[in-house]
Amino acid sequence: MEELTIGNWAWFWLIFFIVGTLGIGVYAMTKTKTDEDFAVARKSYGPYILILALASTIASGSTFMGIPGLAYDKGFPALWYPAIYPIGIYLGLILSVQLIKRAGDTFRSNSLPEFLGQRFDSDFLRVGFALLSLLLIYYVTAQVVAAATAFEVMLGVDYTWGVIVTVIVIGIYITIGGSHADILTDAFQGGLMLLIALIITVMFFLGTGTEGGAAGINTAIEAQDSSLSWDNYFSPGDPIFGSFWLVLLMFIAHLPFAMNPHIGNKAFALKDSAQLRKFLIMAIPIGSILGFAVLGGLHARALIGPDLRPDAAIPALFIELFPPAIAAFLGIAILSAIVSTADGLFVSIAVIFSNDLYRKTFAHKIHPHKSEKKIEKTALNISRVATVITVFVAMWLAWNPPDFLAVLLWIGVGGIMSGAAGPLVIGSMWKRSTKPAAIASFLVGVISYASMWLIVGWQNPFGAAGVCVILASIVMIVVSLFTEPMPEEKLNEIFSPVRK
Amino acid sequence: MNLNAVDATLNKSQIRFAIKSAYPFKRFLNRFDQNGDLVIWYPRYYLTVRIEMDTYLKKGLQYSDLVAVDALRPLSERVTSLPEFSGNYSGEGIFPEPKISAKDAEKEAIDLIKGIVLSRNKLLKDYHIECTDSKLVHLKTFVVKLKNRTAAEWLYIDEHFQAACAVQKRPEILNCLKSC
Repeated sequence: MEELTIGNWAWFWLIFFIVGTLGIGVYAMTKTKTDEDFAVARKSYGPYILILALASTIASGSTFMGIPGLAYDKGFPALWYPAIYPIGIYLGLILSVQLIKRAGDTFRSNSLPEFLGQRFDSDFLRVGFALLSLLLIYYVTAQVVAAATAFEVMLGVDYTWGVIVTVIVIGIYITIGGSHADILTDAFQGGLMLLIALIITVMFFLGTGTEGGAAGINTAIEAQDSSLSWDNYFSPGDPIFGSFWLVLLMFIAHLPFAMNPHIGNKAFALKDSAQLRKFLIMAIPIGSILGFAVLGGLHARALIGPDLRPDAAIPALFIELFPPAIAAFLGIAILSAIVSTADGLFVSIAVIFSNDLYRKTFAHKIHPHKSEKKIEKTALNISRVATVITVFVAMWLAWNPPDFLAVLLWIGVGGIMSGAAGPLVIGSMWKRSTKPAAIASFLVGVISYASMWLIVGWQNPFGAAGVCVILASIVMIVVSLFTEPMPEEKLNEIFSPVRK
Repeated sequence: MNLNAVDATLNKSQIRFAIKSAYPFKRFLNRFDQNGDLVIWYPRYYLTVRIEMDTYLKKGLQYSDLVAVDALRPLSERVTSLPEFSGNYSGEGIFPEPKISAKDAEKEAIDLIKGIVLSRNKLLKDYHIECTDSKLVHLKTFVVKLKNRTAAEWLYIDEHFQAACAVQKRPEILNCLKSC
């Protein structure tokens, strides 16, 4: 019998993945026959499951493709990225999640824009942050591009067909309803990704395919280009890894990352506030392990040479090192990273339309006589339509992608984080923050980030976001100090709520 | 006194944990001497909520859930079981008056479950949520007095939720102490 190619195996595993995911969904639904609760998934929101779900949401297509792509292209100086970003992201989460969780529970916030509106008693901030969050479409686009690239490399299908197949896979995935299905699939994918990241790390330190372990990989890279070796801490002249200051900006830029609506809302899902400590302690190591996937980019550069498209480094490494069946299976981890993130993003975008814009802002103006129940039903329908529209817009944007996924993703994320840094992160930690300061900080963050892209034309999204986060934070603090503090009563409502 | 009381005990390790939680930096520099303790019977409503829902894949799903609603703070959470009552109880301690009625607690419990049902079910078609049972429960919690410290700096220990903090972070407890 003729040996099966990697393409055959990839199709096989893809079908396995779809059937498996649907199977988990159907299995989860059958649990409703018993006392197990369908809608709210009792016993499934503990810190262990949730941390895997959070890790799978944070780790996107970029974790396995865009960032290793940067390392493939820029060599060892790119290791700053995995060394920095998990600490930045999770430190930001630790600083602000406690208030967001507690106040979110108090106010029944369905989303971060809604929470922001409640924190500062401001419709402007809620609507502004909701509209800004629509930039998440670039994030979704990056996921579609990542999946289509993986299909192109591993299945050998044309890129545009890859985009179509991706959209169909994500479409199937997001129609699986039910809380158990949602949590189990996310946690399952998080576990799978963790395993793959560990394999990549071990392979790197063993120097699989080269002689001499990690030092062998360094020697092979040095032979291709000495500026990429581990003797270079920075890449002089590079817009992202050029100097210590650029790396520091990258760290600052990631502090508000967890304030992205699809990530921060995971805090609302935690069953018990008492579990928050365990949840946060585990968050940094788990997140860091996923960051190690970047080592695969260096490994690919050493083994395969400089002629690959950077984003294809990890798939190509798998193909190089593993027999077809295993290499193709590892590709499924990439798909897991993509769909688990895309799922959260689609839900977040849908909530922007249905909750933040319709239910909380316009419903009572355009449907003044509708009952609350009818408004909720309309909101539900709006979220469904919004999901479908988002899928097609992402598909359209993904048709002609740029080179680096990480950069595409940051067009949206950087804007959101620049806007969120002051009101959400500082506003969560500092009681003295005022409403005018929050609005000023939000506007400065967003406008300065847009100017960096459009007027200055700085090609470093992390640097641009880092500068804007600092600017927005300064504005938040200075304007707060010069404006009237928020009423004590309102602050107590947020920081130490009591019934009247 | 007739009430659903839930007992708890206070030991030294809990007090040490409370000091560590409330004063993570100060504890190395200051000695905190205990000066007795007070018992607060913290009121909470426990409500059984019944949910009926249809999804596009399955009709007529039914189940019950349990929600605890804090009677002093605007907080509610899903819980897995009712705490064990020690039956009718007459004892010492402060009994804060619940700030909401059972009816209001019902509304909050339904609201909580509704939010979760709506946000986590992508194929939801229709749903109905109602409250079928409600109990007001008093949970035994403690305030540990500290020598040469104001009431706001004392420790509040809630063994049921493994929570410990300075009393000033729980204004509703401080209000109880002031009104005593």
